[in-house]
Amino acid sequence: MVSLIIPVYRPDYEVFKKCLKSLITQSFKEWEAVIALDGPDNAARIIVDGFTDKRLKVVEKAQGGAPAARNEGFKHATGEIVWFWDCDCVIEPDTCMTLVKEFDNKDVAFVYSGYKFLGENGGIPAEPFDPWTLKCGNYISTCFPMRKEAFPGFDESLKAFQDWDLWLTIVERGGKGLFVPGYAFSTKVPDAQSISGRNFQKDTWLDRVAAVKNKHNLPDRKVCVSSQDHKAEGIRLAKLIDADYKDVPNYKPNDYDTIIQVGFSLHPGRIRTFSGIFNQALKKKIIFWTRENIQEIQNTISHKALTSYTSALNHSVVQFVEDLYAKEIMESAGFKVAILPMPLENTGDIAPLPATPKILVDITDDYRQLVACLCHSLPEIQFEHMDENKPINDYNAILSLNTERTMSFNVKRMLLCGKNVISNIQSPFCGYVDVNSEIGKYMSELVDATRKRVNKDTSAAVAYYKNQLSPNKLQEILK
Amino acid sequence: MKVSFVIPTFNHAAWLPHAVKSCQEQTHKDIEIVIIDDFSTDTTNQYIDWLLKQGDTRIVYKRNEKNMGRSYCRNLGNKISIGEITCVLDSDDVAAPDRAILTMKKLTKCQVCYGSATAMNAIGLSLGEITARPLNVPASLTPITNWRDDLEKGIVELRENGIVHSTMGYLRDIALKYPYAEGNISDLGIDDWDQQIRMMRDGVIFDYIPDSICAYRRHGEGISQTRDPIEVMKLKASILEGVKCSQ
Repeated sequence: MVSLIIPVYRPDYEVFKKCLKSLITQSFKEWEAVIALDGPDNAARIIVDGFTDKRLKVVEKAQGGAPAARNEGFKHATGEIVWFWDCDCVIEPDTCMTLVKEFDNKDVAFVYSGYKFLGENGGIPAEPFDPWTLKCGNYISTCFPMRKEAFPGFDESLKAFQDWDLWLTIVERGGKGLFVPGYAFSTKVPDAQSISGRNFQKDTWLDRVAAVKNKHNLPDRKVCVSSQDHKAEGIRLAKLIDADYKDVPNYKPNDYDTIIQVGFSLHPGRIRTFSGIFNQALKKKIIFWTRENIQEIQNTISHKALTSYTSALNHSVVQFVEDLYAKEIMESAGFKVAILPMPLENTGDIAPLPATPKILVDITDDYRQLVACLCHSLPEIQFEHMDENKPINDYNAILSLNTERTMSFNVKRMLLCGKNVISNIQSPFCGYVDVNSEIGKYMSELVDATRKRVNKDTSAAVAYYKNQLSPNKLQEILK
Repeated sequence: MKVSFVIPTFNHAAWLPHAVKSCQEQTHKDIEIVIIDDFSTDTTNQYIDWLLKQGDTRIVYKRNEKNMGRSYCRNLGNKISIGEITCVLDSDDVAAPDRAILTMKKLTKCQVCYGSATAMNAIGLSLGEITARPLNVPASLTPITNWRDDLEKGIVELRENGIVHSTMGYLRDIALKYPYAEGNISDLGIDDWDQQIRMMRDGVIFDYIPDSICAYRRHGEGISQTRDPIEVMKLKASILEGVKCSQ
């Protein structure tokens, strides 16, 4: 049994009707709805009665805000799953079925997805469950189901962000969330006056964020890493230098003084989402240009656009690329960049190389045919395509050939783990083979280089990259 | 009937495994694969070490103590091979799976055969077919008197006999009777042509297989790409002069 708890306070009655109708027409039938009137509301009662559905129960309390109304509603809930709902949300027909099924997994305390706005395309996507990122900011709406015993009660003393507080509390008590991709429901676009609305005062916002942070002992960090296209790398970097992580740092009020942007697109259709970097209030701004960005600058950004951005960025932003080749390209496009490989955590133990040589293949499409041929040239070596989930210690080396000829996360990870590298990257210990020579010559060199490198001792490379990839240099710059 | 594939190799670590595999995967199983390593200095050794551990008893391997040139290797390979039939295969080429069968059948009617081939680039992409044609023996044996003109007109190809060497197969006794010439002829890569001219002179019976029986790799380091065409024509002219005298 699922108990939906719906606080009602001055609703848009038409939307409220749609809300109840969407529940009644769900493919999932085993539910009850506790409609908690936050102060008397006859019109709402009439609407509920109109449905003549015994699963709809009405309770009423003196007006006191949504969290109190939800707590009151909870007292009347009998289901083992509770689901706080809003009177302006319209649920998708199969959402209950899809989400409730996930509770078969005993480890799961709550289940969530993204949601949409009524009458608008797209929506607010959620993101995979990660307690660490949840501490940087909330990405889970109130309106998702949880086990009854996991529910800690809404904190009525908080003036805002009770949803964030709720999920933080559940997670602190050991509850795990499960992310289901997609959108679960549609809600009314928030009023400008509400906390979710746009005209909210920055100071009030920050005070209320601080209240939740204090309650949960969350650090008040001044540095924020953000990324649109390299989220995993952004989070990794943030953890490494003890910064916050946000996809888009300036979307909501904040008091960061430093932004580190991992990846930065100058594409006319995308530049707005990255524009936080131009915020004058920031003390320090850093961009790590990625291989995709560099390719974009080479291929698709107009000269005129480049000129306007180079001066703006060179003036106020510290810009990094990961290797010499990238630096040359960026400098020829007018950017003032320095080389600093993006730091990476040191994973520690280094296992001996496997006796039967195995190589991970991480290549861009233009090298597919070449590598297919290479596999036959090296029958004593096993080749497998790159997959983040494969345990690194099963491999001796990585073969990395990419059009941009730049250091990738995968290569760095392999280097730190004591694996060999064969690549077209002109960095130390990267087993560079000249991609520009005649293809037969290149092929022969690649075969010999791979054979010679696959079982090579890597202790010197590990020592070098432990130093190169340590966060010390970046932390020095942040000071 | 045993068919011997003779593969001389020098610093072709990238291609040799392709050639060997194409022999191992022949539809005809009674074969031997004779690899003569002409003192390679690349990673050929490492490949051979691995190959010999794989337990394919059809592999015969010899390594020269120093670099001897390709004719020496081919002659040595022909000498130590035991098959009634010898198939030529360069280490950068690849035999078609039914090469041994087709060669065996053809050699019931002739003493030497050759076939069509598929040209491929360094990484194995097809560049089109080289179709085998009947030999024009008299034309092949006509002395070259005006090779400088030929060269200017770009008709050097007329003197090639049109045989892709890596498609050739012969009865073992023919192979032994006509060893490849060493020295200059070998260094300029016309040892195969020279051998064919001598065979034709003596009336050895040639025939061809219309099917593509070999993929022939064109890459920047092949001898036909790097040799001096004037030197080649000069040498060919003098060889044909010699054939004429002896006739």
